[in-house]
Amino acid sequence: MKKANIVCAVTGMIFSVVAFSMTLSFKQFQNVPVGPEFFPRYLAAGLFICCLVLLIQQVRAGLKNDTPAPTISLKDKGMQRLLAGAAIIVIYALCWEPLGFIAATPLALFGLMFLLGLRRYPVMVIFSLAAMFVIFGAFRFFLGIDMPLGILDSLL
Amino acid sequence: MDFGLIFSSIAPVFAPENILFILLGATGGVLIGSIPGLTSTMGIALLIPFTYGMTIIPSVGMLLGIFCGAMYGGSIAAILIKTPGTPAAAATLLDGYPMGQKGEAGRALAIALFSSFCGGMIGALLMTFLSPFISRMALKFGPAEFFTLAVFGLSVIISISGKSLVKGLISGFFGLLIATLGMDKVSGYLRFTRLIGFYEGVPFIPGLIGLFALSEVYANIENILKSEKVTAKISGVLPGWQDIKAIARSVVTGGFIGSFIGAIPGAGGDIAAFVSYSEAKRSSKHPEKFGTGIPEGVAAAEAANNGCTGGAMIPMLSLGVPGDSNTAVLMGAFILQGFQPGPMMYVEHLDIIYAVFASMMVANFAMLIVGMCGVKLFAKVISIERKLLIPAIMVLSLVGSYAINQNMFDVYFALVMGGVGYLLQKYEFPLSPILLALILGPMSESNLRRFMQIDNGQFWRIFTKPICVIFLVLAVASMIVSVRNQRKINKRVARSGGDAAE
Amino acid sequence: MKKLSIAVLGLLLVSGVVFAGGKAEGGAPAYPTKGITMICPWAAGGGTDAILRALSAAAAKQLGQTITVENRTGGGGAIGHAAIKNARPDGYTLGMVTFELNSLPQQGLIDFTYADYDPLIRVNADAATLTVKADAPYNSVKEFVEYCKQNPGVVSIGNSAPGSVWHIGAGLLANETGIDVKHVPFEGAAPAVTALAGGHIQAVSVSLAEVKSQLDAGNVKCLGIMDTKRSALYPNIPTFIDQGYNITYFTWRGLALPKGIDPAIRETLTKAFTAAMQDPEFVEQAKKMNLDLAFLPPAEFNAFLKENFDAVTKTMKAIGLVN
Repeated sequence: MKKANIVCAVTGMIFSVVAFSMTLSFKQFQNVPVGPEFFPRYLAAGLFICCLVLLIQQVRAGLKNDTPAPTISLKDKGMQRLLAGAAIIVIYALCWEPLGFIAATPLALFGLMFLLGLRRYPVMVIFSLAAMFVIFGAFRFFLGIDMPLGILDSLL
Repeated sequence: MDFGLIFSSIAPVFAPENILFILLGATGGVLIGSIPGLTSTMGIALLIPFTYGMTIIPSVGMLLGIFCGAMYGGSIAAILIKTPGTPAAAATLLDGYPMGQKGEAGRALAIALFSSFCGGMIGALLMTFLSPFISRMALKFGPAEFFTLAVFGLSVIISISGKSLVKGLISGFFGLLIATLGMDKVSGYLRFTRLIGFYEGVPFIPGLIGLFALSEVYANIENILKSEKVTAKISGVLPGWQDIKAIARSVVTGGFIGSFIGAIPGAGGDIAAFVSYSEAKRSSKHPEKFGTGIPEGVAAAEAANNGCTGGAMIPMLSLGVPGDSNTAVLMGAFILQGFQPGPMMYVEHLDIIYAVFASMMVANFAMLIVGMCGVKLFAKVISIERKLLIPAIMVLSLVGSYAINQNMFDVYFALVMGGVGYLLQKYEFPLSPILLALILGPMSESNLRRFMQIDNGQFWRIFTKPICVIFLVLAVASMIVSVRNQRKINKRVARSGGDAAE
Repeated sequence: MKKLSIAVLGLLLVSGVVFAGGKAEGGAPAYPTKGITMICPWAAGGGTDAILRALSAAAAKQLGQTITVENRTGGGGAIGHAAIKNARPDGYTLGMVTFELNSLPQQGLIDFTYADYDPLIRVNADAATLTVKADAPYNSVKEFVEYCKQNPGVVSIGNSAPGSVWHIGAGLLANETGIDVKHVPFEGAAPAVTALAGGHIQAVSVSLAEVKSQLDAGNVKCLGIMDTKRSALYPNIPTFIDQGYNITYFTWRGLALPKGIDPAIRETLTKAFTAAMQDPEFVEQAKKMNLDLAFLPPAEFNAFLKENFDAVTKTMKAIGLVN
């Protein structure tokens, strides 16, 4: 965990430095005792200090009680599955507007279940369609919220 | 008190069709609350058009049913799928979800329901008998007071940080910094980004869904083979006597904390639940068990957020000042019916006021009944196969993010926050401080700047305001106690060598 | 993707026409033949939403089709306004435009203006008031102005958000009377009024409807209303003009269509909504909400939008909100 924490601390420090430097270009307001740059600037400083403390703690701590940290490696099966899953989710979200919720949802559900290792196809098909209809129907008819219809827009 | 008037005004509340409307509202509320992204505010707002053709008593009864039901409903998702169904249930998941994972989802749900009911009743009773006194306090809250209240709320971060204080603080600062993205609510200046989705600040609900629900979806996809099936034992729809004894104190304290915080305009169930949780942990004999799935944690949070329902009604009815976003929408419903909430309401329509008090209590009973019927059904969700459940949660999360504003930007934001939440959790940074920061960051910043503008930049004046001093003292005291407690916990864990605080 | 969807759509339309037996042949197109979507740029449960739902219900009776109100919120109104502008101009989507349409472009928050719409009707216009705490030492606009001149930079006026309608209203007041006050933005009018009732600020410049409950309760008093005539409900509140200050200032709401709508469809909609404005149920609803109905037909509404835009721009420049 030691190495992972050090990486986290340094990432946080870089993040805070970037945020801090961005506040320098904020518009200056006249006649205002506290401008829009005040909070972000101090918060970035606070984040930096906390990350520094974490860094020092970790550097000084011995390796004796170190616990193994979760790693991010592309060789890991779980990580590969995660990336594939995230890709399905992102593509699914991007498809809402062009393709429509009704068409995209069963595909995404099916794909994700397949990725998770489910192979009972009848269950998967029925569940994908049923989940889509229940969610779509509940939102449209009970809550009056229309999901994007995409290409089906002209039909409904 | 004019008992004849009280009796004649509350009689219509108990008419069968009115009870039916309240039950309908409570059922809808529990369902809406249990779906992340659908908040009670939204439920009330969506149902208002249906009340156009109704008279005041059934329409207000139905809306109060939603309000109370949704407050409990939020805990269902928190316990079962580690996602607060409503922001107010965020503190419930700290102990509710671990309970569910231990196979005690039924017990956790029953405790949440019982505490919600008790908290709600405490709020309703306080509303009935103390409205005129408490409402005077609400007006005393100006920008300076809100700022110090927010600072007090933020001090809770320390007690919910988990094992590493510094990591909790990093999460907190990270959340506060994220909260400054986009439109600055005081100057109108766009900070860090010019994306249209940030014009009203950071989209809060999509952020919440991303951090809690989607991060969990990602983590589950990664570890699907390792995850074990969780089953839920169901002993009863209400907690057993032993549990009730254990949680009694947290429930009563939580109910009062909730009512008090709810009565402050602009402070809602989310803040109340965290404050109450922190107080329960502070005063507990075994603070190290908080976060591992203990009944008191669930009870403290749920009693407080339901206590808020009654509390928030106080300034709305007696001052015409809504206590939170729910009551703001409810106030709209009153106005649409031709009643202007405010001090005159107590003079001109005392009968309506009494009917509202009675409806509030009936709504809490309705929530209890609906909840009792639902406990067994809800608890089954946890034993659905993960390979089916995870994809369904994914779709529901995206739909929930979309539903608030019906725009795609919020969905993309939720996806990004999901990734951030996944990484943070993987490296043991707690997520709750980020949520608290997203709620309290804008509140503390805008109010500090408003105060500085009104008082010409003289910050010291804050120490001349009694309420501010009280909150600042509370904040400092809470921080000191939490840090000491955490040290004790760490020592105890180190001594026993076990992973009690894991 | 878009091309494909248009092709599919075209096919469907053609087949629809064939199956319908050439119903639309010659003459005016049959309109409306399906439900209409009404976009509301503000959240469900708010004032705009409430008045729009009531108006839509009344208009649905006229048109014989349902009108569904869709809340497209976010971006301080920018997202919903853009959605109306970008809607398909087939007459099945229209929406409510509000004052923000005339204050967002100058701040660079949207890249379109009222000129990008086909305005239908104006629905209501609510004037700003100058409201102070009931026990304040001033009882007229003149006394307030004198107090501010004697104590420059002391008085805080609350408004509903930076760059919002009431911020500009207070700016106009300060600019026209030459007083030095502090503008304190809150998140909505209600918190500002609460802060006034609690004595945390000295004045607000919001509409009469928004201060009504505190006014009735006797916690605040209205020194003047920035209207051309007195309010029917509170005839004892003088206008600014009565008190010798030529200041009028409103927030307003209206309906607008995306550009390029068939004039016949537009005419049908205009008629339906004009009739809806007189519907007794709608009028009753507006009265309950304390709204001032201020109907304007399309041409006048268009002229009003231009005039209002220019006036708002001028004020924003004068108070330094924009350069």
